[in-house]
Amino acid sequence: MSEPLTPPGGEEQDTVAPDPEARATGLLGRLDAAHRVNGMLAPVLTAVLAFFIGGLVVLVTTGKNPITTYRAIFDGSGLNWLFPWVGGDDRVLAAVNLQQTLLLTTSLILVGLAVAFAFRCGLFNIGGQGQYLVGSIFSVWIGSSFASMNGPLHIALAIAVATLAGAAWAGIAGLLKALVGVNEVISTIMLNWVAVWTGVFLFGQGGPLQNDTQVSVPVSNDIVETAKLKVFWGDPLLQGLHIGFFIALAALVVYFVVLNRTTLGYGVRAVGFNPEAARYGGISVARNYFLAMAISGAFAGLAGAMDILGWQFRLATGDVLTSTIGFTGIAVALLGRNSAVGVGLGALLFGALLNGTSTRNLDPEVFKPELASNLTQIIVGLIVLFVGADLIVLWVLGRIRRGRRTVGAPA
Amino acid sequence: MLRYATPLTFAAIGGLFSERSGVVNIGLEGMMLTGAFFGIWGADRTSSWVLGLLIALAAGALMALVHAFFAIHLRADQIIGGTAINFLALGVTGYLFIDIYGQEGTPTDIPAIPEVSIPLLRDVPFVGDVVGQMNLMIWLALLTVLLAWVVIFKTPVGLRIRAVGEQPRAADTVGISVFKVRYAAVIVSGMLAALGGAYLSIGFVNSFGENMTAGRGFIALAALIFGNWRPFPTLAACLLFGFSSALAQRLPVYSDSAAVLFQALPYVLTLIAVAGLIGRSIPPAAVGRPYKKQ
Repeated sequence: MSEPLTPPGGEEQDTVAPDPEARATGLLGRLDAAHRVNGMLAPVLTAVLAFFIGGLVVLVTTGKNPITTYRAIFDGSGLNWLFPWVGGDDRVLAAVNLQQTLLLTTSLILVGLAVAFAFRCGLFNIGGQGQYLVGSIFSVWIGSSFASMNGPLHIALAIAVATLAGAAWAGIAGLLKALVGVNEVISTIMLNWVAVWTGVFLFGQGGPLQNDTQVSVPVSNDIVETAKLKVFWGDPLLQGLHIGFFIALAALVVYFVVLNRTTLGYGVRAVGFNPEAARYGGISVARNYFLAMAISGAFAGLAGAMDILGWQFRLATGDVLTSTIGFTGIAVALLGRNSAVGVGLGALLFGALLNGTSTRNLDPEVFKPELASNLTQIIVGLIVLFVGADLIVLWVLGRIRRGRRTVGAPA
Repeated sequence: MLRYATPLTFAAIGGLFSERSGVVNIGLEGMMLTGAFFGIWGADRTSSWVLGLLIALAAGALMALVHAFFAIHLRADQIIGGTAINFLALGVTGYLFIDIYGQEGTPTDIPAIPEVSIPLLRDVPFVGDVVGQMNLMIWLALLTVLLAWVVIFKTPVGLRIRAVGEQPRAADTVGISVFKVRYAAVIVSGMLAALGGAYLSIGFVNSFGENMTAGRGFIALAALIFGNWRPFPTLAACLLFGFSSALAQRLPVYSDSAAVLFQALPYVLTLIAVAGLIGRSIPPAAVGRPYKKQ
């Protein structure tokens, strides 16, 4: 993975040989080989490289030992709970930390799946954030109204509505893509911001969904007690891990099955692989664009519901403005190579990273916590940057194999 | 309204150069943020806003260089690359900000970009009140739009940029270096976006806060699309979007929370525009496609 940094003008980069064998050297050969090792090596190398550069940043800017810093972040993530020799108070703390990490992992799995599902159809859903917000908004609305409703039914309704809302929000982008060919990247970015400002409007001062008791606080009403998801590990008062974690795991399975074992998934993958060929094969490209976006949005909307019903219980305009979980989902999906297992592992990695660097967990003696959360951001950026580069290499390789022209084709 | 439109204009015109040359620049937001931080840091260190601006330019160029290298040489997906730039910029500026300034934030005595007042214009009734005394950067932004129009449509350089963005293969055939033109265009876009960012930090509020661009790079992108990749319509879009921002800032004082919805206006309008309801928006043909020499 240090290979992408070949100096400008590197021959392998600039020339296209007629067949893949002839250019199976250097970067391409390596990545191709990496891809063949169950596709596991490349993502791991990507992450390692990003962490390495992040470590250099720590070393150069603060003079702190990056290994100590990462160790502290690791302990803060609670993953040390998995080591049986960690005992006593440390173990109790680790359990609490791990619960927090898995809370984040839950929604990261879902927003990661959102990006991944669209990706498999050849669509780049940058709108996970907006779809997540729309899901949050609807679940907080349903969850805080209908107080007398039967608990499980109430939860099911909130989840269903949030999921549908996410699907509808993404569906707008899908529809625009399918009907008028609007680039989904542009439309989903715009929809993100529309969702943000709608949220600020709804929960802001004088907004229609602002809480009934304190008119000066821009926050929603709390969801009712019976609409909260059950905590199965840890103390519910300290944000223990709720059953939504299993919903996220189930979503991974659903993702895999839908994509790989159903006609719908076949269509989505076919369009993602090659829209022209799919069209020729009688698959409706437009229909699949729409469906893929809608399903993608459903995952993100579900993520919003999980966070609201599972541990946040309310939504403030501040949360709406500062949340970036949907964007981290892009990194999760990219690092996870859009596979179910990959997304699961990627979500765990970023969940651990986000929680391990949170202000609450990191000892200021070791590393300033405020710095660490920005370090996470840098690592996320680097991972996305590197993955973007080698993904395209694999993609180009695939295109060359199929002997198709890629560039210079008249639009 | 002009003050709100100025950062957008710089970034949008920056995006115009990049996208006209065939490189999508979703990273405008990150490049703005980079400019905002390094502008104020530079001005602080050198006690000069001019040097601050130059440092912002350099930082923006460097960020753009990363994007250009991945997009052009590595043929990475330009959208993923731009997204990465946004993450990186957020992390790097936030990191340096905390590391250097900590909880106290940036000092308040940093030299700011001055207002300029033009003697004759100032005395014109009505107009003088608005444009008689404005920040230097506002004039510079207007000048940039004019320059961009001249460069893109009236010079051989512009012809090359457009050729590379529409038909890179043909451009290559007649001896234009697609790579060089794209590199230059992306770097110019980074520098302009950084200027927009620096205006925010040392011209507008004279401080820096984490993620202070708060989506302005995306509004700039929206303005660019809304302006159909042309300088003057893009300026018009920036003014329109600046107007909605200004309105959203002012209105809450007099009316209720619905004013915030004006903040969403640029995005809604852009959605409508790209859906083809306001004329057709036609991006450069080769935008987003990496180019391979043969």
